[in-house]
Amino acid sequence: MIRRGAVLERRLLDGVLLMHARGSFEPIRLNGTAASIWYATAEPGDRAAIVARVAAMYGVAPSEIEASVDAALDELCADGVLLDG
Amino acid sequence: MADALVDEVYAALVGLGADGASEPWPIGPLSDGQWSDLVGRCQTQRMVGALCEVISQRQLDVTDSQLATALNAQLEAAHHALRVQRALLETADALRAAGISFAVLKGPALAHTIYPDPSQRDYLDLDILVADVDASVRALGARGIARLNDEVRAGFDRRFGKAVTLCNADRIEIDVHRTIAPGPFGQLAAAGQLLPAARSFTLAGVELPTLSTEEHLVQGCYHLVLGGDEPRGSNVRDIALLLSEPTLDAERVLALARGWKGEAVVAQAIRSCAERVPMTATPLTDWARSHNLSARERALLDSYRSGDRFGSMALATLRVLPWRERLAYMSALALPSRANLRTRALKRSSHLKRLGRFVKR
Repeated sequence: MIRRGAVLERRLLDGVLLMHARGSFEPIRLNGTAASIWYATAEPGDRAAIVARVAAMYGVAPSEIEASVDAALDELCADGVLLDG
Repeated sequence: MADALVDEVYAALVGLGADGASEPWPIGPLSDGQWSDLVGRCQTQRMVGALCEVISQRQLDVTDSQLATALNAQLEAAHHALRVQRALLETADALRAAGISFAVLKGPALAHTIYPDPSQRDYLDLDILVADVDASVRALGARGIARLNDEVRAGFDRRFGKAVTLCNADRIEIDVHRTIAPGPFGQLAAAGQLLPAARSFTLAGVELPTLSTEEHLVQGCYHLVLGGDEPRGSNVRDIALLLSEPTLDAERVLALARGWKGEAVVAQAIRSCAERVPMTATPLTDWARSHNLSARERALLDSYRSGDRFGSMALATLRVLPWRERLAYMSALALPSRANLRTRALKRSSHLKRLGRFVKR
Protein backbone atom coordinates (compact mmCIF):
# COMPACT_ATOMS: atom_id res chain seq x y z
CA MET A 1 0.00 0.00 0.00
CA ILE A 2 1.33 3.41 -0.89
CA ARG A 3 -0.13 6.89 -0.45
CA ARG A 4 -0.92 8.81 -3.60
CA GLY A 5 1.50 11.71 -3.77
CA ALA A 6 -1.03 14.40 -4.54
CA VAL A 7 -3.04 14.23 -1.32
CA LEU A 8 -3.22 17.11 1.17
CA GLU A 9 -3.84 16.44 4.84
CA ARG A 10 -4.64 18.33 8.02
CA ARG A 11 -4.75 16.78 11.48
CA LEU A 12 -7.99 17.05 13.48
CA LEU A 13 -8.72 16.47 17.17
CA ASP A 14 -10.50 13.25 16.31
CA GLY A 15 -8.70 12.20 13.13
CA VAL A 16 -7.49 13.70 9.90
CA LEU A 17 -8.99 15.61 6.96
CA LEU A 18 -7.74 14.78 3.46
CA MET A 19 -8.25 16.45 0.12
CA HIS A 20 -6.98 15.61 -3.34
CA ALA A 21 -4.50 18.15 -4.67
CA ARG A 22 -6.29 17.94 -8.02
CA GLY A 23 -9.75 16.84 -9.11
CA SER A 24 -12.50 16.52 -6.50
CA PHE A 25 -12.79 19.28 -3.91
CA GLU A 26 -14.70 16.94 -1.60
CA PRO A 27 -12.79 16.53 1.69
CA ILE A 28 -12.37 13.04 3.12
CA ARG A 29 -12.71 12.92 6.90
CA LEU A 30 -11.15 9.97 8.69
CA ASN A 31 -11.98 9.45 12.36
CA GLY A 32 -10.50 7.14 15.01
CA THR A 33 -9.26 3.87 13.53
CA ALA A 34 -9.48 5.08 9.94
CA ALA A 35 -7.14 7.96 10.84
CA SER A 36 -4.76 5.53 12.57
CA ILE A 37 -4.73 3.42 9.40
CA TRP A 38 -3.92 6.52 7.35
CA TYR A 39 -1.01 7.39 9.67
CA ALA A 40 0.16 3.75 9.44
CA THR A 41 0.55 4.22 5.69
CA ALA A 42 3.03 7.10 6.06
CA GLU A 43 5.66 4.56 5.02
CA PRO A 44 4.72 2.18 2.18
CA GLY A 45 4.06 -1.45 3.10
CA ASP A 46 1.93 -4.43 2.12
CA ARG A 47 -1.43 -5.08 3.77
CA ALA A 48 0.10 -7.36 6.40
CA ALA A 49 2.62 -4.65 7.36
CA ILE A 50 -0.11 -2.02 7.72
CA VAL A 51 -2.23 -4.40 9.82
CA ALA A 52 0.81 -5.07 12.04
CA ARG A 53 1.46 -1.31 12.49
CA VAL A 54 -2.14 -0.59 13.44
CA ALA A 55 -2.21 -3.59 15.79
CA ALA A 56 0.92 -2.24 17.50
CA MET A 57 -0.73 1.20 17.89
CA TYR A 58 -3.69 -0.34 19.69
CA GLY A 59 -1.75 -3.13 21.48
CA VAL A 60 -3.84 -5.94 20.01
CA ALA A 61 -3.06 -9.05 17.97
CA PRO A 62 -3.08 -8.45 14.17
CA SER A 63 -5.65 -11.23 13.71
CA GLU A 64 -8.15 -9.27 15.85
CA ILE A 65 -8.24 -6.26 13.54
CA GLU A 66 -7.17 -7.69 10.19
CA ALA A 67 -10.66 -7.76 8.68
CA SER A 68 -11.58 -4.21 9.67
CA VAL A 69 -8.22 -2.77 8.60
CA ASP A 70 -8.53 -4.57 5.26
CA ALA A 71 -11.98 -3.08 4.72
CA ALA A 72 -10.74 0.41 5.61
CA LEU A 73 -7.77 0.05 3.24
CA ASP A 74 -10.19 -0.91 0.46
CA GLU A 75 -12.21 2.24 1.18
CA LEU A 76 -9.10 4.45 1.13
CA CYS A 77 -8.13 2.91 -2.22
CA ALA A 78 -11.66 3.54 -3.51
CA ASP A 79 -11.37 7.19 -2.33
CA GLY A 80 -8.21 7.42 -4.39
CA VAL A 81 -5.86 8.37 -1.55
CA LEU A 82 -4.06 4.98 -1.40
CA LEU A 83 -2.73 2.74 -4.12
CA ASP A 84 -2.71 -1.02 -3.67
CA GLY A 85 0.49 -2.44 -5.04
CA MET B 1 -18.32 40.99 27.14
CA ALA B 2 -14.67 40.87 28.22
CA ASP B 3 -13.91 38.12 30.69
CA ALA B 4 -10.57 38.02 32.52
CA LEU B 5 -10.31 34.24 32.42
CA VAL B 6 -11.07 34.11 28.67
CA ASP B 7 -8.48 36.87 28.16
CA GLU B 8 -5.90 34.85 30.11
CA VAL B 9 -6.52 31.63 28.19
CA TYR B 10 -6.49 33.47 24.87
CA ALA B 11 -3.19 35.21 25.76
CA ALA B 12 -1.68 31.85 26.67
CA LEU B 13 -2.77 30.47 23.27
CA VAL B 14 -1.05 33.36 21.49
CA GLY B 15 2.17 32.53 23.38
CA LEU B 16 1.84 28.77 22.90
CA GLY B 17 5.27 27.29 22.14
CA ALA B 18 7.20 30.57 22.54
CA ASP B 19 10.27 30.60 24.80
CA GLY B 20 9.34 31.65 28.30
CA ALA B 21 5.62 32.15 27.63
CA SER B 22 3.55 31.15 30.65
CA GLU B 23 0.59 28.83 30.29
CA PRO B 24 -1.83 29.52 33.13
CA TRP B 25 -4.43 26.98 32.08
CA PRO B 26 -7.48 27.02 34.35
CA ILE B 27 -8.37 23.96 36.40
CA GLY B 28 -11.65 22.55 35.15
CA PRO B 29 -13.64 23.62 32.09
CA LEU B 30 -14.68 27.20 31.36
CA SER B 31 -18.40 28.01 31.54
CA ASP B 32 -20.28 27.52 28.26
CA GLY B 33 -20.54 31.30 27.83
CA GLN B 34 -16.81 31.74 28.33
CA TRP B 35 -16.15 28.86 25.95
CA SER B 36 -18.32 30.39 23.28
CA ASP B 37 -16.41 33.71 23.64
CA LEU B 38 -13.07 31.92 23.44
CA VAL B 39 -13.94 29.86 20.36
CA GLY B 40 -15.39 32.93 18.61
CA ARG B 41 -12.25 34.93 19.36
CA CYS B 42 -10.03 32.07 18.15
CA GLN B 43 -12.00 31.93 14.90
CA THR B 44 -11.65 35.64 14.14
CA GLN B 45 -7.99 35.65 15.22
CA ARG B 46 -7.14 32.44 13.30
CA MET B 47 -6.16 30.68 16.50
CA VAL B 48 -8.41 27.59 16.31
CA GLY B 49 -5.37 25.40 15.57
CA ALA B 50 -3.68 26.53 18.81
CA LEU B 51 -6.88 25.99 20.80
CA CYS B 52 -7.24 22.44 19.49
CA GLU B 53 -3.59 21.72 20.22
CA VAL B 54 -4.01 22.44 23.94
CA ILE B 55 -7.21 20.39 23.99
CA SER B 56 -5.45 17.44 22.36
CA GLN B 57 -2.56 17.77 24.86
CA ARG B 58 -5.17 17.75 27.66
CA GLN B 59 -3.81 21.06 28.97
CA LEU B 60 -7.26 22.60 28.79
CA ASP B 61 -10.25 20.74 30.27
CA VAL B 62 -13.40 20.75 28.16
CA THR B 63 -16.88 19.30 28.44
CA ASP B 64 -18.25 17.05 25.70
CA SER B 65 -20.30 19.85 24.16
CA GLN B 66 -17.31 22.24 24.29
CA LEU B 67 -15.20 19.60 22.55
CA ALA B 68 -17.86 19.31 19.84
CA THR B 69 -17.83 23.10 19.32
CA ALA B 70 -14.03 23.12 19.03
CA LEU B 71 -14.13 20.22 16.57
CA ASN B 72 -16.61 22.03 14.35
CA ALA B 73 -14.44 25.15 14.35
CA GLN B 74 -11.37 23.05 13.60
CA LEU B 75 -13.09 21.19 10.78
CA GLU B 76 -14.09 24.50 9.16
CA ALA B 77 -10.55 25.93 9.52
CA ALA B 78 -8.96 22.70 8.24
CA HIS B 79 -11.21 22.53 5.20
CA HIS B 80 -10.36 26.11 4.32
CA ALA B 81 -6.62 25.53 4.84
CA LEU B 82 -6.72 22.55 2.47
CA ARG B 83 -8.44 24.67 -0.18
CA VAL B 84 -5.72 27.32 0.23
CA GLN B 85 -3.07 24.59 -0.12
CA ARG B 86 -4.68 23.50 -3.38
CA ALA B 87 -4.65 27.07 -4.59
CA LEU B 88 -0.98 27.24 -3.65
CA LEU B 89 -0.14 24.16 -5.75
CA GLU B 90 -2.17 25.56 -8.65
CA THR B 91 -0.39 28.93 -8.38
CA ALA B 92 3.07 27.40 -8.04
CA ASP B 93 2.47 25.24 -11.10
CA ALA B 94 1.48 28.27 -13.21
CA LEU B 95 4.43 30.39 -12.03
CA ARG B 96 6.93 27.58 -12.58
CA ALA B 97 5.58 26.92 -16.07
CA ALA B 98 6.07 30.62 -16.85
CA GLY B 99 9.61 30.58 -15.41
CA ILE B 100 8.82 33.15 -12.71
CA SER B 101 10.82 33.09 -9.47
CA PHE B 102 8.58 33.19 -6.36
CA ALA B 103 8.44 32.58 -2.61
CA VAL B 104 5.46 31.58 -0.44
CA LEU B 105 4.82 34.08 2.38
CA LYS B 106 2.90 33.97 5.68
CA GLY B 107 0.37 31.29 6.76
CA PRO B 108 0.99 28.14 4.69
CA ALA B 109 4.77 28.68 4.61
CA LEU B 110 5.05 29.36 8.34
CA ALA B 111 2.75 26.42 9.13
CA HIS B 112 5.12 24.06 7.35
CA THR B 113 8.44 25.52 8.47
CA ILE B 114 8.10 27.16 11.91
CA TYR B 115 5.08 25.63 13.63
CA PRO B 116 5.47 22.36 15.58
CA ASP B 117 2.52 20.96 13.59
CA PRO B 118 1.10 22.61 10.43
CA SER B 119 -2.46 22.09 11.73
CA GLN B 120 -1.77 24.66 14.47
CA ARG B 121 -1.69 27.57 11.97
CA ASP B 122 -5.00 28.70 10.42
CA TYR B 123 -5.04 30.77 7.22
CA LEU B 124 -7.64 32.07 4.82
CA ASP B 125 -5.72 33.25 1.79
CA LEU B 126 -2.46 32.94 -0.05
CA ASP B 127 0.44 35.39 -0.33
CA ILE B 128 3.18 34.90 -2.91
CA LEU B 129 6.16 37.17 -3.50
CA VAL B 130 7.11 37.18 -7.19
CA ALA B 131 9.97 38.49 -9.28
CA ASP B 132 7.66 39.88 -11.98
CA VAL B 133 4.14 40.95 -11.02
CA ASP B 134 2.88 41.63 -14.54
CA ALA B 135 4.10 38.29 -15.92
CA SER B 136 2.67 36.50 -12.87
CA VAL B 137 -0.76 38.07 -13.30
CA ARG B 138 -0.71 37.05 -16.97
CA ALA B 139 0.42 33.49 -16.20
CA LEU B 140 -2.23 33.04 -13.52
CA GLY B 141 -4.90 34.71 -15.67
CA ALA B 142 -4.23 32.14 -18.38
CA ARG B 143 -5.19 29.46 -15.81
CA GLY B 144 -8.46 31.20 -14.93
CA ILE B 145 -7.10 32.90 -11.79
CA ALA B 146 -8.37 36.42 -12.34
CA ARG B 147 -7.53 39.73 -10.69
CA LEU B 148 -10.28 41.33 -8.57
CA ASN B 149 -9.55 44.97 -9.47
CA ASP B 150 -8.17 46.42 -12.66
CA GLU B 151 -4.77 48.05 -12.45
CA VAL B 152 -4.81 51.69 -11.22
CA ARG B 153 -3.01 52.69 -14.42
CA ALA B 154 -0.82 50.78 -16.84
CA GLY B 155 2.50 50.02 -15.16
CA PHE B 156 1.32 50.90 -11.61
CA ASP B 157 1.53 47.34 -10.24
CA ARG B 158 5.16 46.80 -11.18
CA ARG B 159 6.33 50.31 -10.21
CA PHE B 160 4.35 51.14 -7.08
CA GLY B 161 1.90 48.41 -6.10
CA LYS B 162 2.19 46.28 -2.97
CA ALA B 163 0.31 43.30 -4.40
CA VAL B 164 -2.34 42.30 -6.91
CA THR B 165 -5.25 40.32 -5.51
CA LEU B 166 -6.55 37.48 -7.67
CA CYS B 167 -9.18 34.85 -7.07
CA ASN B 168 -9.31 31.26 -8.30
CA ALA B 169 -12.34 29.20 -9.30
CA ASP B 170 -12.64 27.96 -5.70
CA ARG B 171 -12.91 31.62 -4.53
CA ILE B 172 -9.57 31.57 -2.70
CA GLU B 173 -7.84 34.95 -2.72
CA ILE B 174 -4.26 34.99 -3.92
CA ASP B 175 -2.15 38.09 -3.24
CA VAL B 176 0.71 38.30 -5.72
CA HIS B 177 3.24 40.59 -4.05
CA ARG B 178 5.77 42.96 -5.56
CA THR B 179 6.72 44.11 -2.07
CA ILE B 180 5.84 43.17 1.47
CA ALA B 181 3.92 46.19 2.76
CA PRO B 182 1.81 49.11 1.55
CA GLY B 183 2.94 52.72 1.75
CA PRO B 184 6.42 54.17 2.24
CA PHE B 185 7.97 51.22 4.08
CA GLY B 186 6.81 48.92 1.29
CA GLN B 187 8.56 51.16 -1.26
CA LEU B 188 11.75 51.21 0.79
CA ALA B 189 11.83 47.41 1.19
CA ALA B 190 13.83 45.85 -1.61
CA ALA B 191 11.71 42.70 -1.55
CA GLY B 192 13.38 41.44 -4.73
CA GLN B 193 16.37 40.61 -2.50
CA LEU B 194 14.31 37.78 -1.04
CA LEU B 195 14.39 35.96 -4.39
CA PRO B 196 15.50 33.38 -5.28
CA ALA B 197 14.04 31.92 -2.10
CA ALA B 198 16.37 30.73 0.66
CA ARG B 199 14.60 27.53 1.65
CA SER B 200 11.66 25.30 0.76
CA PHE B 201 8.96 23.04 2.18
CA THR B 202 7.04 20.17 0.65
CA LEU B 203 3.31 19.92 0.11
CA ALA B 204 1.74 16.83 -1.49
CA GLY B 205 5.15 15.93 -2.87
CA VAL B 206 5.73 19.38 -4.42
CA GLU B 207 8.69 21.46 -3.26
CA LEU B 208 7.72 25.08 -2.63
CA PRO B 209 10.17 27.97 -2.14
CA THR B 210 9.89 30.22 0.90
CA LEU B 211 11.86 32.67 3.05
CA SER B 212 14.56 32.04 5.63
CA THR B 213 13.61 32.34 9.31
CA GLU B 214 15.14 35.83 9.49
CA GLU B 215 13.30 36.99 6.35
CA HIS B 216 10.03 35.54 7.65
CA LEU B 217 10.53 37.48 10.88
CA VAL B 218 11.12 40.80 9.10
CA GLN B 219 8.18 40.17 6.75
CA GLY B 220 5.97 39.20 9.73
CA CYS B 221 6.97 42.38 11.57
CA TYR B 222 6.01 44.52 8.56
CA HIS B 223 2.65 42.76 8.35
CA LEU B 224 2.00 43.14 12.08
CA VAL B 225 2.75 46.86 12.24
CA LEU B 226 1.76 48.10 8.78
CA GLY B 227 -1.09 45.69 7.98
CA GLY B 228 -3.78 48.12 8.99
CA ASP B 229 -5.82 46.31 11.61
CA GLU B 230 -5.26 45.48 15.26
CA PRO B 231 -2.61 42.71 15.18
CA ARG B 232 -4.29 39.35 14.72
CA GLY B 233 -3.48 36.61 17.28
CA SER B 234 -2.02 34.29 14.64
CA ASN B 235 0.35 37.04 13.42
CA VAL B 236 1.55 37.77 16.96
CA ARG B 237 2.13 34.05 17.53
CA ASP B 238 4.11 33.91 14.25
CA ILE B 239 6.48 36.57 15.62
CA ALA B 240 6.74 34.89 19.03
CA LEU B 241 7.62 31.52 17.45
CA LEU B 242 10.07 33.08 14.99
CA LEU B 243 11.82 34.91 17.85
CA SER B 244 12.02 31.57 19.69
CA GLU B 245 13.67 29.74 16.79
CA PRO B 246 17.02 28.46 18.09
CA THR B 247 18.75 29.06 14.76
CA LEU B 248 17.54 32.68 14.38
CA ASP B 249 20.44 34.98 13.49
CA ALA B 250 19.68 38.35 15.11
CA GLU B 251 22.42 40.12 13.15
CA ARG B 252 20.87 39.02 9.84
CA VAL B 253 17.47 40.31 10.97
CA LEU B 254 18.94 43.68 11.88
CA ALA B 255 20.99 43.90 8.67
CA LEU B 256 17.86 43.26 6.59
CA ALA B 257 15.84 45.80 8.58
CA ARG B 258 18.62 48.40 8.30
CA GLY B 259 18.99 47.82 4.56
CA TRP B 260 15.28 48.49 4.10
CA LYS B 261 15.24 51.47 6.51
CA GLY B 262 12.70 49.46 8.47
CA GLU B 263 14.30 49.18 11.91
CA ALA B 264 11.42 51.16 13.43
CA VAL B 265 8.90 48.68 12.01
CA VAL B 266 10.77 45.62 13.25
CA ALA B 267 11.38 47.17 16.69
CA GLN B 268 7.74 48.14 17.08
CA ALA B 269 6.51 44.68 16.04
CA ILE B 270 8.82 42.91 18.48
CA ARG B 271 7.78 45.27 21.29
CA SER B 272 4.12 44.73 20.42
CA CYS B 273 4.65 40.95 20.50
CA ALA B 274 6.54 41.10 23.81
CA GLU B 275 3.70 43.13 25.37
CA ARG B 276 1.25 40.35 24.50
CA VAL B 277 3.46 37.31 25.06
CA PRO B 278 5.67 37.20 28.17
CA MET B 279 8.75 35.85 26.42
CA THR B 280 12.31 35.20 27.53
CA ALA B 281 14.49 38.23 26.70
CA THR B 282 16.69 37.80 23.63
CA PRO B 283 19.18 40.12 21.94
CA LEU B 284 16.39 41.16 19.54
CA THR B 285 13.83 41.91 22.27
CA ASP B 286 16.48 43.93 24.13
CA TRP B 287 17.35 45.81 20.96
CA ALA B 288 13.68 46.49 20.21
CA ARG B 289 13.07 47.84 23.71
CA SER B 290 15.95 50.30 23.43
CA HIS B 291 15.37 51.40 19.81
CA ASN B 292 14.56 55.12 19.62
CA LEU B 293 12.46 56.37 16.73
CA SER B 294 13.93 59.14 14.61
CA ALA B 295 11.63 62.00 13.55
CA ARG B 296 11.53 60.58 10.01
CA GLU B 297 10.61 57.08 11.24
CA ARG B 298 7.88 58.50 13.45
CA ALA B 299 6.40 60.49 10.56
CA LEU B 300 6.40 57.46 8.28
CA LEU B 301 4.82 55.22 10.94
CA ASP B 302 2.18 57.87 11.71
CA SER B 303 1.07 57.83 8.07
CA TYR B 304 -0.25 54.29 8.62
CA ARG B 305 -2.35 55.28 11.61
CA SER B 306 -4.07 58.35 10.25
CA GLY B 307 -7.85 58.54 9.89
CA ASP B 308 -7.43 58.73 6.10
CA ARG B 309 -4.87 55.94 5.96
CA PHE B 310 -4.91 55.71 2.18
CA GLY B 311 -4.24 59.42 1.63
CA SER B 312 -1.63 59.71 4.37
CA MET B 313 0.25 56.68 3.13
CA ALA B 314 0.18 58.04 -0.41
CA LEU B 315 1.69 61.36 0.74
CA ALA B 316 4.34 59.59 2.80
CA THR B 317 5.10 57.32 -0.17
CA LEU B 318 5.73 60.39 -2.32
CA ARG B 319 8.42 61.49 0.16
CA VAL B 320 10.41 58.26 -0.23
CA LEU B 321 10.06 57.81 -4.00
CA PRO B 322 12.86 58.98 -6.31
CA TRP B 323 11.99 62.36 -7.89
CA ARG B 324 11.46 60.93 -11.35
CA GLU B 325 8.82 58.50 -10.00
CA ARG B 326 6.79 61.03 -8.04
CA LEU B 327 4.87 62.52 -10.93
CA ALA B 328 3.89 59.12 -12.31
CA TYR B 329 2.73 58.01 -8.84
CA MET B 330 0.70 61.17 -8.22
CA SER B 331 -0.95 61.19 -11.61
CA ALA B 332 -1.87 57.51 -11.33
CA LEU B 333 -3.58 58.06 -7.99
CA ALA B 334 -5.26 61.28 -9.13
CA LEU B 335 -6.43 59.88 -12.47
CA PRO B 336 -6.92 56.13 -12.21
CA SER B 337 -8.14 54.29 -15.30
CA ARG B 338 -11.87 53.99 -15.95
CA ALA B 339 -11.63 50.22 -15.61
CA ASN B 340 -10.05 50.56 -12.15
CA LEU B 341 -12.75 52.99 -11.00
CA ARG B 342 -15.43 50.66 -12.34
CA THR B 343 -14.09 47.63 -10.39
CA ARG B 344 -14.00 49.81 -7.25
CA ALA B 345 -17.59 50.93 -7.97
CA LEU B 346 -16.45 54.59 -8.15
CA LYS B 347 -17.27 57.35 -10.60
CA ARG B 348 -14.49 59.72 -11.69
CA SER B 349 -16.39 62.66 -10.15
CA SER B 350 -16.68 61.01 -6.73
CA HIS B 351 -13.03 59.97 -6.87
CA LEU B 352 -11.98 63.57 -7.63
CA LYS B 353 -14.22 64.90 -4.82
CA ARG B 354 -12.55 62.52 -2.38
CA LEU B 355 -9.15 63.56 -3.63
CA GLY B 356 -10.11 67.23 -3.28
CA ARG B 357 -11.21 66.72 0.33
CA PHE B 358 -7.87 65.12 1.11
CA VAL B 359 -5.82 67.86 -0.59
CA LYS B 360 -7.74 70.57 1.35
CA ARG B 361 -6.87 68.88 4.66
